[in-house]
Amino acid sequence: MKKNITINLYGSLYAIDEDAYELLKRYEDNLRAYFSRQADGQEIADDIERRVADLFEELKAQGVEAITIEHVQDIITRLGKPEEMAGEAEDGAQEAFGGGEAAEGGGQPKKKFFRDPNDKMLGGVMSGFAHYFGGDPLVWRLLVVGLCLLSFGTTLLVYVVLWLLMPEARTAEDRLRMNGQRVTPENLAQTVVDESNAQGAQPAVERGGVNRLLSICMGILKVILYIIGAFFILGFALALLVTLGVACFGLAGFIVGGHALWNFGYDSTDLVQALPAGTQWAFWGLILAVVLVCVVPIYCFVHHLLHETHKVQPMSAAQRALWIVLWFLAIAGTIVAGTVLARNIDKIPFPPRAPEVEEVEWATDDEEMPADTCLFDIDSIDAAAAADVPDKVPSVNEEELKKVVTESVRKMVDVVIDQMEKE
Amino acid sequence: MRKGMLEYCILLLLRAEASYANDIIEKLKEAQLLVVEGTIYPLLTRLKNEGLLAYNWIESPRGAPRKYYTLTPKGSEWLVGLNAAWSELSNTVARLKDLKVTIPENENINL
Repeated sequence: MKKNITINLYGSLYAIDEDAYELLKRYEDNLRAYFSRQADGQEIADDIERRVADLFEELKAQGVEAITIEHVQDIITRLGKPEEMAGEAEDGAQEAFGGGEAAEGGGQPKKKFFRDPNDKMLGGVMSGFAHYFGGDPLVWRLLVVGLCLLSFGTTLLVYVVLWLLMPEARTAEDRLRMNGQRVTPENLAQTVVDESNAQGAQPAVERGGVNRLLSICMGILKVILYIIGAFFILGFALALLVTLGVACFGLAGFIVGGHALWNFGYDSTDLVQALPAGTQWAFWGLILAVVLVCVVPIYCFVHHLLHETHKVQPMSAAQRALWIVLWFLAIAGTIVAGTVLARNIDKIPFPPRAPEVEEVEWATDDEEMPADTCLFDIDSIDAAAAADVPDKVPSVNEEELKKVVTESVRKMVDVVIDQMEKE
Repeated sequence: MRKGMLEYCILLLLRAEASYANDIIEKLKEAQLLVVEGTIYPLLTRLKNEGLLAYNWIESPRGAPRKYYTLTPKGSEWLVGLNAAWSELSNTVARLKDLKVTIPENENINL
């Protein structure tokens, strides 16, 4: 006796056994996960689902009342596993961390590094290690926790990098590879059936004692890591904005500052040129590195979101490694360029400031004009203002001024008289 | 190699009439060209994306509406080219086969 459910496929209803449904569901999830790695994967998976509906329709026409697990197994064998559909297995459509495709013929295929989503505390990295190197995941976990404590948490960084690098075993094929089993239709169907049975019965791994404690700790750690991650992303977004802002201000500063320097007879409008020879790269290097430090995680995060919503293919292990390396290089670059720049910025050879002029003027305003000097005679102040040379104030007196004025008037009159005589 | 063959055969089948994927599967299975049925869906999608095929939705008496694939003008052009390439290839193979008759021990290598 089996429980039976009704499913709706493109508007037609089919009665199907519960275990058969589980198998079908697994198969379809598998297909979708596999084809999500290529463009139009959605469409391909939909087409195949339609084909399944057609085959169900045929069964119905033959008088089959309830679809059993055998029917579904037949259909799966008929349609094939995703790798077979995608064509040659050596197509290289996917690669796992740690090497190329294992040769399909002869011998036990090589195991692959995968994170195991069915047995994970944090990211499933350690269960992946256990699958690959053997041993109990618990031992690996305790080892890493121990290392983490000994190394003051640097191991956690390594863990996170591995988490980012190792692909998750999403499909039944991945899980077979993770365990070093050959991918054949029989193995595949077996895995799918086993998993659907296991899922109904109990969690994939029973957890007691130490495992439970570890699980709770890791749950907390996971939340903390996610929060840190979120802060990182936000922080980088903010830092990027600030960098852009500073770059804009910096540019404006260069233009204004360059102009001011030019006024002082300094003929370069470019501060960078003023840095000591051999350190000018640091300026542009710093800008580039800071932008990279901000942009790389944001790009990867957006890519990840798009992948989660099946809009783009996931990055290959090589791509992920490349981004991680690039990011660390950018951080190193920021530190190096920043240090060089900080050490040299004060060595910029500003021209000796001619300036004191300005300060003297301020000084006259503040100090040499006490309240009583306001009774200065108006004439001399006006004369000083006209000449714009405060030092000459005492040397100008009325007598001289009169002499100068009368002389120039006399000259003008002479000129006019000359003109008149000529005419 | 096998994939290229399948693409060629799909184009050949669609030359005559618009077909539903199931019809194509039927015919390819008759010709024993198809190991698993699922293979043709990625192929059809790719050929469609390359502009060699197009499809219309046609209501079916029961169940979901069906995609009927047809050859586009570009597909027909390609088919002409493929025909030429194929006859050249089969000529070459035929010539090589004639040669092989004289050296029987090499025959099974080229099966």
